[in-house]
Amino acid sequence: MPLESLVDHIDELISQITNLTSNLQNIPYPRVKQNIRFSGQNYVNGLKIAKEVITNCIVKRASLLSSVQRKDGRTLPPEEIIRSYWLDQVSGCYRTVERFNTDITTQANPSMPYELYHWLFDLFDRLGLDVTIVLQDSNQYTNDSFEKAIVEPLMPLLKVAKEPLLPGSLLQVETKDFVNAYPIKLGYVISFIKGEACNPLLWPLLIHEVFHITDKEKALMTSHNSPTKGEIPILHENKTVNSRWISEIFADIMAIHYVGPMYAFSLMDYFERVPYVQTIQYPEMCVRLYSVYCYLESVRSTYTDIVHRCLDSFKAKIGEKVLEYEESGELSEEKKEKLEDIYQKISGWFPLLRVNSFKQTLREYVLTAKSVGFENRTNSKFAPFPHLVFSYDEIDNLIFRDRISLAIHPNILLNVILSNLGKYNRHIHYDVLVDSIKKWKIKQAWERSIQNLK
Amino acid sequence: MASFSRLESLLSTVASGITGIGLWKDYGIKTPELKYFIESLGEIQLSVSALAPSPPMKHYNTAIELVYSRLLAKLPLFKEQDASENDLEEALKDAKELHGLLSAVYNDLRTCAISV
Repeated sequence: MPLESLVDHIDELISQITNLTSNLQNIPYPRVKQNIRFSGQNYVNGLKIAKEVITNCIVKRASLLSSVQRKDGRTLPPEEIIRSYWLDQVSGCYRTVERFNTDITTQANPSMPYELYHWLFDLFDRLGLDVTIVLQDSNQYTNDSFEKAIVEPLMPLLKVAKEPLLPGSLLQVETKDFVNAYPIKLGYVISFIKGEACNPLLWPLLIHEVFHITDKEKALMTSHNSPTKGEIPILHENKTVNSRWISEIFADIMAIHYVGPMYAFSLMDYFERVPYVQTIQYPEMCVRLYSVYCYLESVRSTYTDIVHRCLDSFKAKIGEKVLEYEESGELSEEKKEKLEDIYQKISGWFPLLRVNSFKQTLREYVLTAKSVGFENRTNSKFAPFPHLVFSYDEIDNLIFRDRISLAIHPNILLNVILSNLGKYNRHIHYDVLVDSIKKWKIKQAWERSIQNLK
Repeated sequence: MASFSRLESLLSTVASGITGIGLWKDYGIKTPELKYFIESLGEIQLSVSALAPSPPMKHYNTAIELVYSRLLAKLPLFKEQDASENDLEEALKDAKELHGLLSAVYNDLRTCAISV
């Protein structure tokens, strides 16, 4: 059979992925393991669809055509027909199935610490979203549903195969609904830049992707009370482009409300290292930076001094950038007014998501400790402190001087880092942060079990 | 941003065009591949311009726009019952060029970080 070698190769890939996902001993967390197995099953089904596509949509169609005379009177064997007319489709299928294998392999062995899943799971849980997500090494920060990642590349071939090869003739390959036969279950792949996987300063960009997924899952931008309905200012005359741009700004504003000032740093730091140009998908850089700057301008009182310390250290820097945009004319008064209006409308919507804002996370940190009566400090810096409240300076000293990981929400720790960038060293403090997430997760589980006992 | 899967889908759509035009030229039959390609031409433009243009992308943008506009101009030809050998040869050349450019974009995107 033509393309037998490719079909055999796909079988081999199916077996590789099955082995990989049934053998995930390196992953210490059951929920992460479960998500990767779920993803693996989707890729296996994707490979099965690809196999059917090759057999039914290419080989069988070429075989039918081998009985038809060309204009020059010749008939060609199926192999030659495929080589002459379907070559690019075949190499495309090969490229896609290989990517499936690369995707699931990097998901099972990501460069990012598995602990980051806890941070994202916590946000999804608070958002009330029961979706499966997996993290994947890539060279971009993006998110894709499994359906898009797996089925979309095969769709052109699947759609075409549904119709007769020759209009009005019986030369048609009977095709099943392969997508139904091998279902791709709902879930998302969040990709991140492999080289930045161990750079905690860019981790907040993952939260931007989480809010994109939230938008897709809850159809926020199209819901009846969407902030984009009604009198939202127009940034681009084309409706589709405008809605894409607003969606980016939405994810930025939600992310900064959730993560705090550290998100603005991550965004700016990333923009500084990668050339960013406005497209129909993404608004100008000045638009996105000004949108998060509006948060820095508006955030005020807080339960601890962390916000102020972060603002002191970073607001001036991003302010300088905003000034540059103003002076160059990229950020006009009219544009600023529109963005301030958009900021007001979108940020006013944040409470509807029922997720703690950064300020609320700080508040919760303080109140949880008080509610169980552990607010008194201990002199021992090595105390397990499941419910101890530390001041900003104490967190600062424990993390940077003593390198002790703390069971504190990652958003708080990341913002403490932002206000201490001079003391921060990725190689030294990365492990402290990862261990802190682990401790925070354990503390959270412990608190929940106590609550359940009550 | 246009993910790898999106680009793979675009490449497959253009490849459908190559198949469809080739079969029309040599067999004189208009298959569903050609119909699908014609229907998806608009989508190709939108998706390509959604690619975040890192410097290597900028290099491709002009070339893609040029070949795309040539293909778009041939749309009335694709809707005709018959077309000259020469016209179809030209159309096939353009579709192959577009496929080559998109393949180059795909390969570049696999090696350069671009968007958030």
